[in-house]
Amino acid sequence: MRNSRRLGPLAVHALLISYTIIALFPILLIIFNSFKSRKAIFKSPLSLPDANTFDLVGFEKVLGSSSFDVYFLNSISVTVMSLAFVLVLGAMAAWALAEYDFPGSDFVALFLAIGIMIPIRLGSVSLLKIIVSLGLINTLTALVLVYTAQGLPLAIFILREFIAQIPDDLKEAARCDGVTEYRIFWSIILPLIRPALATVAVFTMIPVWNDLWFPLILAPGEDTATVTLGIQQFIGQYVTDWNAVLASLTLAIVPILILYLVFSRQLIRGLTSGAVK
Amino acid sequence: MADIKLSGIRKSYGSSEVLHGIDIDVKDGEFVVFVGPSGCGKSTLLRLIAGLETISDGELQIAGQKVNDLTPSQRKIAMVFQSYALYPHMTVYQNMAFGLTLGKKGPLGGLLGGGENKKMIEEKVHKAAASLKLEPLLKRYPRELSGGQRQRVAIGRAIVRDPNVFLFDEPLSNLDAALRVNTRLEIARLHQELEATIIYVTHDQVEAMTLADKIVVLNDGYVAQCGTPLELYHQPANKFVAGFIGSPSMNFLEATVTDIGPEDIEVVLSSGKVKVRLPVLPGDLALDARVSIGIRPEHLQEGSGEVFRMSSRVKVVEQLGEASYLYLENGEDDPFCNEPFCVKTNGHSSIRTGDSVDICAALSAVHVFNASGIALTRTTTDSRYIAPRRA
Ligand SMILES: Nc1ncnc2c1ncn2[C@@H]1O[C@H](COP(=O)(O)OP(=O)(O)OP(=O)(O)O)[C@@H](O)[C@H]1O
Ligand SMILES: [Mg+2]
Repeated sequence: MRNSRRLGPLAVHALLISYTIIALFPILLIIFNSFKSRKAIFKSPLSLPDANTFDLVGFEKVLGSSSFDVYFLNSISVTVMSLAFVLVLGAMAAWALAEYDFPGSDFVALFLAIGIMIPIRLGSVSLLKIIVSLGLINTLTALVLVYTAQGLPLAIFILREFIAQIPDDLKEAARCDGVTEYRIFWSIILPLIRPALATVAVFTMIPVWNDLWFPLILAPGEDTATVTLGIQQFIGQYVTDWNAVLASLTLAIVPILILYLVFSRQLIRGLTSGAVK
Repeated sequence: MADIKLSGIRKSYGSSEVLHGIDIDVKDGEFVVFVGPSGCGKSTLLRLIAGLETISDGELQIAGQKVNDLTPSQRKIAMVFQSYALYPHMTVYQNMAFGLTLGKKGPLGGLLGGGENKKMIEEKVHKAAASLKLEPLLKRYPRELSGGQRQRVAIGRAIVRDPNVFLFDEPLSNLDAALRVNTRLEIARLHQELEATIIYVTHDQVEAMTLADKIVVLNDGYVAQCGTPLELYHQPANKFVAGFIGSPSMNFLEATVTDIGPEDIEVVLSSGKVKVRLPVLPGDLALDARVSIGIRPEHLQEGSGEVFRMSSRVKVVEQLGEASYLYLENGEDDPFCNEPFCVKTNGHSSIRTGDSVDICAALSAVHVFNASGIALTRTTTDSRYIAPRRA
């Protein structure tokens, strides 16, 4: 009895720890090697940088030479804008679908569910046509629009579930108080679904930040390239500048890590406690 | 002025009707309690009055104005929910002030605030908080309050809005017994202080009897009876109200009419052994009709009096200190046909389980209901058994 009970958590932890190591290993490898000289990278890729192998040449190249600051700014603005649109529009749509019974609400919900199941990349050709005819090719706006569309279905789906769990009494109490529907949404619903918003934010921003596909086909220009696209310039057909690639990848982790830390603080809180009963 | 008038109010959910034509008049400043068993439609009726549900048919007037199509805030009502419904992410102060920041609509539908000025709001909140002893708690969050304190905040939130009508839906049912008594007194005090019209839903008849100016007993979507607490107690209009009001509830016996006089009837109990004349107007009662006879436990005594000189064995004795309840058994010699027959005696009664007792009741304490459960009018003038005239 006792042994098997002890074994349970141990086994689980062993599993989780080994998974964590497997998941983190490539990332750690990138970070270690970005601080090493080119020779050291190839000679002993698995060793930590030491006094002999330590070399910042990659970072110098990335930060000094190319227009990397532009790429960074592009990536950050695309991610933040898409994130803002997905969260605000998604929460509003979720509230509408959860709270109001209007003709066609079932159809809209179904339509959105299809959006979750079918990857948006299948529509790349038509998206490209639409963006071209709108004259938005090579603009960040094109990316923001596409990413907003990509993120909305899942956001609405998740947020709707959370909004449906908010006790009706809270909304009704507010309505009795003469509070407008807009203010119920902004002052009551949004604060109460903050943990869900954080979850959705994390799910939304990571694919957007990492995406290479849409920047490549919709905004490949020098002024609009994102970090993921910018890194490609170091990967040549014949020579790849590994120092620069690893350094830029390491740098690319930083902003998203900061955003994640901001949101993950919200994830843990159970905000509804004390609402009713 | 906030009279409320319900005429022919009906409510259906899909094809099932849950309220079948409710007519109630509530006068300004009156404390009206809706009682009834679970599922009879009390909450639904309250929510219709609040404007949280649409009225299927009939007319609702508040202060002489038809309000069927107005929103809750336009009706100037404030509701206190059973679950308290406090906003968990706001402090007590913010909870109470939240509805006020919109006294007048600011730009964007009040989204940007505006409306009543800050000082007035502060004043109102502090005044309400003071009257509910909430002042030390104003900075706390609902999760940091006890159940009773949350309830007071919920009431405070209603008070600051200064509504025409207060609506309460079972506000005390989440509190423990002692706190319930306190809060009940508090609500009674508030009613006197505010002179407000209050509609209060409960299934607890003690709350109903103690708080109400007028009780509306609902049964299955109909108004079973509407009147002062004492009217319902002494002159129940039907068997349902008779059984519902009073605790322990009224005892019922089956009987058959054997003679009809101008102002009384003679009945024989179904055992065939007890035959009495009862002072009630016969109405359209026929000979041999089946009737039910109702006697409250507190109107029965040990001993042999005017009616029902019967002996029976005691099955259970419940001693409460100030009184004891005897539950009598169906003996060979007794007429008690259905449920245990309950008698209230004084607390120092020496009767024990298994003893035989004689019980009796005054004729004028007896209620008679016809086969469809409607009460026959009693002719008694004994002030112990009739409700005092309304002023
Ligand atoms: N949204 C709804 N849809 C369908 N039926 C409903 C709905 N709300 C209530 N009912 C029905 O209406 C009837 C009255 O419900 P209501 O909540 O008013 O009862 P109640 O008297 O408040 O009972 P309780 O004392 O248990 O709170 C019930 O039979 C219930 O099933
Ligand atoms: Mg109810």
